[in-house]
Amino acid sequence: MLKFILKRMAYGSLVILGVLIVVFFLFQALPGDPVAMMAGQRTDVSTREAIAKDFGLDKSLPVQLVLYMKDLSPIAIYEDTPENQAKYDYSVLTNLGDNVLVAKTPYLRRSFQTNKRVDEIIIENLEGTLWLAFVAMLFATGVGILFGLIAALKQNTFWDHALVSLSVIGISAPSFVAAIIISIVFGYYLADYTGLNMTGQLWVTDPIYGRELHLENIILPAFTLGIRPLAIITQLTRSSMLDVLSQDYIRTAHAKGLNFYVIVVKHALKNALNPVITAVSGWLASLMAGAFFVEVIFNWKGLGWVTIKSVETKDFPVVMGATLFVALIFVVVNIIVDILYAATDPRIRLSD
Amino acid sequence: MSVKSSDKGYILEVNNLKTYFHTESGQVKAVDDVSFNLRKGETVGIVGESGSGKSVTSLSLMRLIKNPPGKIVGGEIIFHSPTHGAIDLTKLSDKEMRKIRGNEISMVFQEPMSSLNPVFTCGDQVMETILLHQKVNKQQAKQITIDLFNQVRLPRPEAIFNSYPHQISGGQKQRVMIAMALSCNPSVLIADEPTTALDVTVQATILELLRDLRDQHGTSIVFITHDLGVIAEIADRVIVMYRGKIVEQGTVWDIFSDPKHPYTKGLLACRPRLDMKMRVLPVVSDFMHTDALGNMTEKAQSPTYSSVGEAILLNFIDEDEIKERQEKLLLQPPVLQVKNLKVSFPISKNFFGKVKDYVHAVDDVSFDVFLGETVGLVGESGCGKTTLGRSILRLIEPTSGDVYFENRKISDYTGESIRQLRKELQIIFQDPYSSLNPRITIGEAIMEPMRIHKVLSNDKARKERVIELLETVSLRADHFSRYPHEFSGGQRQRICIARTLALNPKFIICDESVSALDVSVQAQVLNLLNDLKEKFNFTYIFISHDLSVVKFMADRIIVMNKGKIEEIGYAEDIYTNPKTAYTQALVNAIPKGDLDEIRKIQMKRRKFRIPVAS
Repeated sequence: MLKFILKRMAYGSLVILGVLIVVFFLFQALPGDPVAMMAGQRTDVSTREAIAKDFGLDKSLPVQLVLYMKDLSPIAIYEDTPENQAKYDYSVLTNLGDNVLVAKTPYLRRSFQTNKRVDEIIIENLEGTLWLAFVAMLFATGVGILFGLIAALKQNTFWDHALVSLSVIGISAPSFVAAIIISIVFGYYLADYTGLNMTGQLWVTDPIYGRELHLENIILPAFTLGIRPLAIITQLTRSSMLDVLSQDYIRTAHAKGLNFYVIVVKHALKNALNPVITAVSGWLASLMAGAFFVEVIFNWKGLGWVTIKSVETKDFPVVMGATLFVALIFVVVNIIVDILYAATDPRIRLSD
Repeated sequence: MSVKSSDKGYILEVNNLKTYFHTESGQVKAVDDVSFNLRKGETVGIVGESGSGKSVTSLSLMRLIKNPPGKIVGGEIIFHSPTHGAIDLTKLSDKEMRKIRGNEISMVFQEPMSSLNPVFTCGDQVMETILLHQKVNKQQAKQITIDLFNQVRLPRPEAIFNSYPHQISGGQKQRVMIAMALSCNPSVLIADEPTTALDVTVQATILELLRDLRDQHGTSIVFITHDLGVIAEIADRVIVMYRGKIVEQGTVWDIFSDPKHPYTKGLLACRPRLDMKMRVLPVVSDFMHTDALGNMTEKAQSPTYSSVGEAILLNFIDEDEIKERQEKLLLQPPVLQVKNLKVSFPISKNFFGKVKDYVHAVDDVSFDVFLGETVGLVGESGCGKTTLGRSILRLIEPTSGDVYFENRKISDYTGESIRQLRKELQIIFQDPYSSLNPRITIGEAIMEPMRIHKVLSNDKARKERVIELLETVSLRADHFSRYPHEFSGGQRQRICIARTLALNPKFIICDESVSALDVSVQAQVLNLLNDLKEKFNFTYIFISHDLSVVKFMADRIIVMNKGKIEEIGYAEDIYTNPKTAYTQALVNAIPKGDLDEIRKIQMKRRKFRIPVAS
């Protein structure tokens, strides 16, 4: 078990390293100059050079990459200066002459634009994304399993055909189209009935009452985000349920004299849910990874929203930090899912 | 739903039962007007081949026919329930039927591997039935379950109680199923091919268990099987079914000593026998003619054989002839030599993917095969016989050791030349259903290897050859452009044989080639293989779990156990004079199905049973 987790974590770090390198070079291909973005249009050359030097942007790309990785590494060698101490917040392991070997938390640098620490920006926006992903997934899983179950039990009836057709629409509708339509229909045309806004955040700062929780604002983005997983979960539950219902052990359960609902809920559903769990977890990871379109269209402050804003301003540390964080979530969620898998199916042993 | 009871001695009366299936291609009369009775404490065996309706009959008794497509359309099933009196099961509501199922009538299924729910422990699954039908609490139910596990002779009942199905062996799973079926002391137990998926030694222990439990509890059993040998071991009375109808019923003794119906005669005669070597196996069509409408008539005019006894007498090979053949074979050069062959598969790896532990599927095996010989390879599942067969062809790479074919090491063949080797060495697989591509016509399927190996110069010549081959395996030329699904299992296996012959191989490995077939079809395929051997002087390795089939085919037999050769010798010696305990056990476990055995079993049975006047 422990070996399994260690092994998966080793693979996971390789994935994150890959993401780091790819995003780093892709970022360089974006048009626009971050220094110009920071300094404004009318700065003289010497100021620009000073800014570039300050952020290490004057160095060659490979050197920049290495320096970034050095900042990320939990163990590194630095000159022992008070500035470095303040910047990295390290604890010294050993002295190596002028330099020290230190242990620290990964340093994600500061935003070019706001000079805020990137880890703080991520934490700040993470809450919105987590809530959104969680609510969307809860909705999708609950309704999806129910729909799938109905479709399977009423196979080849009107309900089955209706649910399957709906799920096909759900799978094929692009999220940005769905987001815009849902936002306009429910947040604008039907706003009088639904009482919902087109856009909005979880926390709204009111000039008089201060920071307020607005739970109703999550409904539309979560619904939009949940449509596709809902459709897929419906189809998966349906097909896996149909498969399980034709198994020999279901016949055994009938032969015991159990009633139909015990057979479906106890004997069939537990077996049928395995593929569903995989799908749910995969989606959960990608939903946490930021639903870029949905967050931007509903103006929902989350990781996706902040990443898009930073790409627009070529704010390299924020984009890089957010991307790496997302990759980390992906890796961790997948490991958790595999462990969960073993918990629901006793036949799976986590050996390799 | 009480009905008038007709006879106190009966527990189950089935009258004119009809179960039909509605499919796209029309109505299938799976069970067509079937009537039989089951007395208290009696064991009735229903025997028939695939499609005979025996399983559908048993599922109808439990009302477990899936609707749609199936439906009980007529007849009645009167069950003399100890608690409810006489009731017609076909007229009960679902709710009433659920009180009967698992409680008063219970069932053991064919596939113990898939009949238990993989996500619940064995104990939970048995307890579930008890909690459902009896007024006990969980603690008591657990105690009853463990007692049951003791009764069905499971080792360490407490441990098995907490085990999941995948953690125990197939035989143990079937014991759990039996415990589950017996948990509420049913009056009727329906056993649908309960031993078919098991090894023969395990089968023997399960049959013994069922016999003992039945004698102790006085349970009435409906025992369904395709194997007449098994029927002889357990049943008091036998019902022979063919195409949804009962063709004959009677006591075991009568059916085996004096079968009346030509189909029963054919069925009895076509089983390969252990006690004598036959030249050709009689087939059902020697006794019976079936017309287009499915009406059966006995072949009265000039039948090949008129009775089972005659069929055997006319056919068996005497000892001198066997000896002569053995001596002749030994003078031949060995065509295949296997020397210290080992095949291992990794079972656990360390952190860096280095293999820590192996399972030795084939462990240091050496033997020779002479030209024109048939070597039989028998053993129980997991003994490594299939791996051995495949590693000879290098379909699985051997870990160490050498195989010489015509004095050349097969490991020396590389790249292009290994194809040459595979042209000479061919294999016929077990499952004729999955070894033919459903989207390729059988003509193309047979022609494909000829094209690859450039046998004959053009497709026209090849097509002629394919038609010739189809005729060799008793198929017709117009079958050339048909698809596999249009053929029955036996026909498909013959197509596979034709495909093998297309390359003019010298050496053929038959890997459980007849295991998936019905006995009557099996007899035809075995006869065909023997005919071809005479005609083309093939050398065979014949792999099977069924010792009687191997004995019919083979000159010499290799008995394998746990990857090693347990014993190697002439077929007759292995049977009459086994040297190791394992071979002995294997031979003893095979249901004989001869009259001597039946008499012994019936005598033993009489002690427990009030004799039934029939």
